[in-house]
Amino acid sequence: MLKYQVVVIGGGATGSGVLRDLALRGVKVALVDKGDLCSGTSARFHGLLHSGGRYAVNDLDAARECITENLILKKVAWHCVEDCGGYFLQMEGDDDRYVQKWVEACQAAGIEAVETDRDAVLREEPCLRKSLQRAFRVPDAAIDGFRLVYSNARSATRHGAGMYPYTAVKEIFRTGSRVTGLEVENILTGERSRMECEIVVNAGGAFAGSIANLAGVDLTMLPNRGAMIVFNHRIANKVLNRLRPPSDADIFVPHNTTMILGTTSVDVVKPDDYRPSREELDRLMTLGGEMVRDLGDYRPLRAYAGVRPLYSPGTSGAKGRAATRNFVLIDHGREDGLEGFVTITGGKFTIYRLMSEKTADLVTKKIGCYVPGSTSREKLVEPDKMATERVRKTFVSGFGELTVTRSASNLDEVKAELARNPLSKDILCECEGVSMAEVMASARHLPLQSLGEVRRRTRMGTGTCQGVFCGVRTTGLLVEEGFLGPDKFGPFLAEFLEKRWRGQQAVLHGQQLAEAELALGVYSSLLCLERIQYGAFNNEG
Amino acid sequence: MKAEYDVVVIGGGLSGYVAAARAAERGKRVLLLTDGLGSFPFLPGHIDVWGWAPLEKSPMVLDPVQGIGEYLRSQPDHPWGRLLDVLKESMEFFRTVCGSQGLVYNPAAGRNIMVPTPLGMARPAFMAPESQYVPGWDAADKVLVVGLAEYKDFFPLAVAQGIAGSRPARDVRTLTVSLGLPRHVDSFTLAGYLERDECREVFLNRVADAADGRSLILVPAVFGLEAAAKVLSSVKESLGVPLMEVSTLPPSVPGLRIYAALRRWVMSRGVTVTANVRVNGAWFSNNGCAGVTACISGREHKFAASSFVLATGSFVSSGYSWQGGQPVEPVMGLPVTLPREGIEGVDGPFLDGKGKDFMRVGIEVDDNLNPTGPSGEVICKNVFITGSKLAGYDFSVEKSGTGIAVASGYKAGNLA
Repeated sequence: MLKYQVVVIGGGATGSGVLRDLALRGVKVALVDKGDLCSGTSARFHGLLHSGGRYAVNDLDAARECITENLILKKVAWHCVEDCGGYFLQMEGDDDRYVQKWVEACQAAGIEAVETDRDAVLREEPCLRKSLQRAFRVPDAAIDGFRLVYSNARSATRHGAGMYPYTAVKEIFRTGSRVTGLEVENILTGERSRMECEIVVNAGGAFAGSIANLAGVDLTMLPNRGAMIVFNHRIANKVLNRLRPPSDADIFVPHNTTMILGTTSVDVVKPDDYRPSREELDRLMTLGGEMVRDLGDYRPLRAYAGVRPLYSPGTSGAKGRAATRNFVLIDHGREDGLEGFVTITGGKFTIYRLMSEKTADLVTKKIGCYVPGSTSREKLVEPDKMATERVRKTFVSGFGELTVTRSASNLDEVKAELARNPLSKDILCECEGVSMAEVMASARHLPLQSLGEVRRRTRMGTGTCQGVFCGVRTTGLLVEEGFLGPDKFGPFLAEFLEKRWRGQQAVLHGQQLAEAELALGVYSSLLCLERIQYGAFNNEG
Repeated sequence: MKAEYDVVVIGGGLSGYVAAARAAERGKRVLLLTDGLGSFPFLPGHIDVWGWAPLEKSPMVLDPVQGIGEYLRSQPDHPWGRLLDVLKESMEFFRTVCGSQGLVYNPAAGRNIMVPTPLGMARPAFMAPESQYVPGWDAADKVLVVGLAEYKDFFPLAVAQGIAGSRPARDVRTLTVSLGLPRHVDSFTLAGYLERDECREVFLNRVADAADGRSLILVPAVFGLEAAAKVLSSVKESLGVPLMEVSTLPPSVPGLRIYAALRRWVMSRGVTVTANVRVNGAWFSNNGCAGVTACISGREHKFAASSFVLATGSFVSSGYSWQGGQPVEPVMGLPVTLPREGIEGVDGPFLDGKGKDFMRVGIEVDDNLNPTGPSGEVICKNVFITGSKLAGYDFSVEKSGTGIAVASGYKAGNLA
């Protein structure tokens, strides 16, 4: 029987944020997730660190929260943020009155929105259409969601938190009107065990409703899908926002060498309805093309979708874009007469820290050990100058910089890999410049149920070739280094390729066909992986 | 414009080179225009004709001619339907040409042989270079798989698992040796490196003990480029054990060996090879295509000839471009046949036995490889389509790509 004061359900941004916040406050806390950390909606957004401009007109409070958190995260999560800045762009036909309202609202919210000369902006971002009317510079930034979640988890475990990925909650126990613990199942081994705790925090995102049901509480979520397209180009250097009321395809976010176009808003029934429709993607391309010229000529790498955990308290009936993006912290003791059960839902990635802090405030008060939170000051990772310099120098120029930022939270381990095998400085994933040492350092701590675990932590396979070359290399390395049984080589690789393929299918045209042809040339023609699937080779023997 | 050449071959991949070679052998004046290395860095060395019918769960094919015949009954428009007549002589031609340059292929037996994939699984192939196929290799009982620490695209443990898979009782060992290089190197660099005696010496010293008493040694196919034959025989001799190269991930050294052999041969037969040429258009007369235009170092050039072989490949080599949501053949504007369901929004898994419709995109031809229009009419009698430009097949699941390239290149060279 495992004993904790608090158990958090859900390993996304909010769950890992709550975990870290409580661990820093000295609470004995653990996290369970039915899959790998950061494999739900936190892995499926556009990676924008909002300035708040998007919400300024409709929801001043949300805008204020965004800008405050934006400035905090740029400091405490420095290694996850690319502070590229952003523009809000009024295109021809966009309502002047809205622009005026927006300027005033930004001022009221404390968002620095600086009007910039239209021609200068067109020179700076030549991808923009000439129909640009006005442009305002805002402190938007790009944020790596994976890195943020893993850094939170790492910081939490270093402060004594328990971490249980691939662990599904089967039952939530209650004695009278009080939660007393849960029964969980390790989905890899099928083994069941009990966890005793005073408080259960439901941070299940779009799955929050079904988790609440386990506790016998009714919580109706409004899962809402947003689709995105990733392009194989950094089309612009800054975030590009359309300056009009929130709508589809109004945001482009640059990430490393790629650009993400988002989003749509479609109500769905299932919380894991991750497949964007053809119609959504066409709409993204059409509307996105109103800001960026010749958008159809860029090569889309993949399309994906996330499910927003929207929640409307009571019966407001607001859905989709009308539903609030504010977060909701529910004390089910007060609402439903079930003590020790707390749900944190709604909200958005940018304010995950605030959501976590408010949750931790409530939880620590409930267990009678309230101390103020410190996550607004305490960095996720303190930069280690000596180690940074040493690792940076190991690599050929450019790659060193990427590596030390990417690996800020496990730099000591990357350093150890480099010491163990100096050849591990060499690059495994050429698109993203990911070294063998990084892959090895992360693999040592992973259950390795899929190559996706390594991909999300290192960025291998996320670039131009989408894993065509580094997929097999990384798997090979894991096999040769003894992390993975040689018999797992084919199945492991095939699973990875199928996942990547799902994102590529929807945007399979133009240049993308060449990549697909190349991928089939390697995996089917050369490696015959499709035949390994059902043992054609063994029949031959 | 007076034609300097009888035949212009556009595209320097496998089918283009074979077409140029065959046309030159027939005494034609041939110009080969290439832009890059074509398909060569992707070729595993062995030549595939037919490994599996493109159907879910189809059995592995041992007799390719029979297997193709069965498949053609339901799919008569598959390219093999127009190429079976030259299968035997084209393979023999290819073997003779390569052999004359020191790249020796085992004679094709007509039945598929088994060669190891880069992951060690035995897979069917039509013929293979001597260095990559030791008869009876899959029955050898004491195997040693040797990897190189500086080469990251070969995985000895996986290969060992693959070859042991079918006969688990077999004694398979692995060894990874360091050549003492300061960093990882790619296969081409490694191949050049291993051509040097002192480098090979390091390898031999570190493998000798483990090789003792083994009945077969498997190594990645990186043992020499132009001097591969010499390199391999010296390694084999020193170790005193049969040695076999396993094909690797691209860039593939055996592919480059084929390139080097074909290139030397066509040049010795007076073929003009012009590299770094992007052919971008063509002009026509009553007799069909009259010439092609190309951009060389920023200047427009024109090449007239009496016949043309279009061997520019598929999407991956820009043999098709994409305009207005449709694939386009950019040199001659030939009609490109699309799958009935269209290309976009393909459903289904990435890896399956049926293959993909977008891989079957291509140009329809008649029995002479002349491009045909929607109702089967020949568009140009003096244009011949080869290799992955041909419509109606998915080389990746069929394991038919190199065979169709050789056969179609040969036939085009015959007729051009």
